[in-house]
Amino acid sequence: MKIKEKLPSIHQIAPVLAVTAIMHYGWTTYRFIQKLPSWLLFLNFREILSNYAQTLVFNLAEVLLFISIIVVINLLLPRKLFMNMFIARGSLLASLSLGYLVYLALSIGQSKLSDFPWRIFQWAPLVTLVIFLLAIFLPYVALVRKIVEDLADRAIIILYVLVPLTGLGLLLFLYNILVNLV
Amino acid sequence: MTKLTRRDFLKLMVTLPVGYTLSRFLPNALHKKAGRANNDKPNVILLIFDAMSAYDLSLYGYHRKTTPNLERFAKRANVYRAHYSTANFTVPGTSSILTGLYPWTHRALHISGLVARNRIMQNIFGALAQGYHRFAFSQNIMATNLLRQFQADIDELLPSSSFSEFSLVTSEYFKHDAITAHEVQDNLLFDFADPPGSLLFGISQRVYFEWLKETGRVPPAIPQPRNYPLVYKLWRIFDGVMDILGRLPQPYFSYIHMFSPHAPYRARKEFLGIFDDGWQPVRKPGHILSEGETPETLEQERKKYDQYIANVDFEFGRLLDHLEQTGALDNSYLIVTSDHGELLERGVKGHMTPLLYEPLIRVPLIISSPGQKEGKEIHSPTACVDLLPTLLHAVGREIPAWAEGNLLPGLGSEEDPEREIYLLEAKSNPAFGKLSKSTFALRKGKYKIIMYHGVEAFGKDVFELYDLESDPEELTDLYESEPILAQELKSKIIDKFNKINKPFDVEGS
Repeated sequence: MKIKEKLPSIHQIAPVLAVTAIMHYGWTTYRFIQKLPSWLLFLNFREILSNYAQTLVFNLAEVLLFISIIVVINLLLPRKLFMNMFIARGSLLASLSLGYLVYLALSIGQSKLSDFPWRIFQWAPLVTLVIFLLAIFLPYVALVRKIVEDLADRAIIILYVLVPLTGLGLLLFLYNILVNLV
Repeated sequence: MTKLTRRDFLKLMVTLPVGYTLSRFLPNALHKKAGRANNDKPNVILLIFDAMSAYDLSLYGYHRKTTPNLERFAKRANVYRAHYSTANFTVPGTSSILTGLYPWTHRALHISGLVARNRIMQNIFGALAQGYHRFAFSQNIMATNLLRQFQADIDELLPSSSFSEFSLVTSEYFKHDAITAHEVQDNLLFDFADPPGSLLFGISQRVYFEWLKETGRVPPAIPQPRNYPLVYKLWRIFDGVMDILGRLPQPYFSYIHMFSPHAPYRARKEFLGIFDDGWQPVRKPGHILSEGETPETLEQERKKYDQYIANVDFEFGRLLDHLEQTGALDNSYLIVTSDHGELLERGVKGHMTPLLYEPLIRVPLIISSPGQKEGKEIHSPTACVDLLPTLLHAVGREIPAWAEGNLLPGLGSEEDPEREIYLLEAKSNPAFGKLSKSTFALRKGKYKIIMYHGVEAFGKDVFELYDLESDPEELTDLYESEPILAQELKSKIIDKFNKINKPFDVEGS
């Protein structure tokens, strides 16, 4: 089978991309808002905007990397284990694994600087396996599949905001670098 | 269009690398030539030790022999006995050194604050333009941010990780937008002190760094606070500085900001235990604004701090030997100072506090002029804003009207025992507005008055008054018992506070 035939279509990728983007952008924006009161004390509006632009560019890179991983998984697995229910499986994989990463980020943040919480990573292989199995097998339950696909489909609307916003962010990011370069 | 022949192509391939190589070396060679032509101008080496309190230096009368090498240096230099920073942490103190402006003017009030954008042109590097090679290196990332603001006036600015053992500080790769990169990457996406703001890159980088540490791939060395992924060895930093000073085109102005002896206090093993002497510093009562550290903890921390200072002093001794052996001190000003002090008493550990007691704000200042052989003691109060006008005066430059400091005694002016020195702590205020919560202090003559403004714990403005001559440990508050004196100094400090407490003038300069 040709690789091209196993690549998901844009209509399949868009909902999974939307779920991934919501998780990445959402978490970073949440942390950004927590930093904002401090930045308001010494940065002006333009500088805060530049900060936001840079977070958007990093988020874009993260989302693209993450969606690429999902596509690679799809290529590696037999069609009936992933490709056949790409939207449901991809969206579940994205939301569960990124949810787990949020948990890890919070645990790292709450630990002492000098005492890295290695214990929370002891379960990481098992958790990853469980997430993977859930993502593959849960969509066999029709109701779950329908809910996930509907939510992912509705999530696409967020891309209409995030894509142009990230485009502007990228422009500002490049402008800042180029202006200072000159 | 003319065709490029094989011969033309070969010529091009030969001339391009030659041209590139020449272009790399020619400016340096020209500069060095210019340096020789200007050899009547002295070099200036401004050496900052971060968080070095004068209180813990034997040069300044401390019980423990922490600084034999600074004492050796002092025999051929001016020692300022009552020298003050303008604040109690890096950003405002360093900004005052670099701009010659008080914190209420430069407005770098916050922990990661920046100099007011319309004051950026007012800096020591800009004032030394033309004729000086201006070099800057700060291990302290916050101070490097300030230096980035003056980048247009600096000929050579090294990243904070220079001469370090290991670094994963990503913002250093974004040299052309470094201040944004620092806030976004070091303090948000790859945050080590709070949950990282990037789920994929932030967690991966943190785990990778911790794994490298666990497996011994990051050598045991001194970490930065907030645990930025950067570790260094003190002796290597000094080696690097010696190497750099040897190759700078002359005449040069070099700003070197060492991170040590800032916490974490990590002396080399040779210095561990050297102060297991059973000596106990004066125990002072806890302050209402303190963090509640116990006296026992603070005494342990002080011992570590003192050991670390002794280690720093040892390395400084090596640098001093090097400068003496190479004859660099014959045509250079060497200035040793600090951006702020450190408090290890009254329930406070470190300098992230609103308090303005002497160990936090009185810092060393030792200056040797070119060829100076005799030591000199200066006892009248001086401030770090005095460095900029004094240096400019020393190298024959005009002192700009915007500089807020005075010429230092012994280097252009006479001692003035009644000189008024002001200090401000206002990190929780916006840089652009009026100060709603701050600590403000005035040193005048032998007295010091401290004003706590807008502090919730007090509910009103509260004052403390000390006689630093008879009570250098600031144990007896004279505010109630000396009402006439208290009233006089209170009206003086309030007048000054009202004068400075204005929203930042965006248009002014």
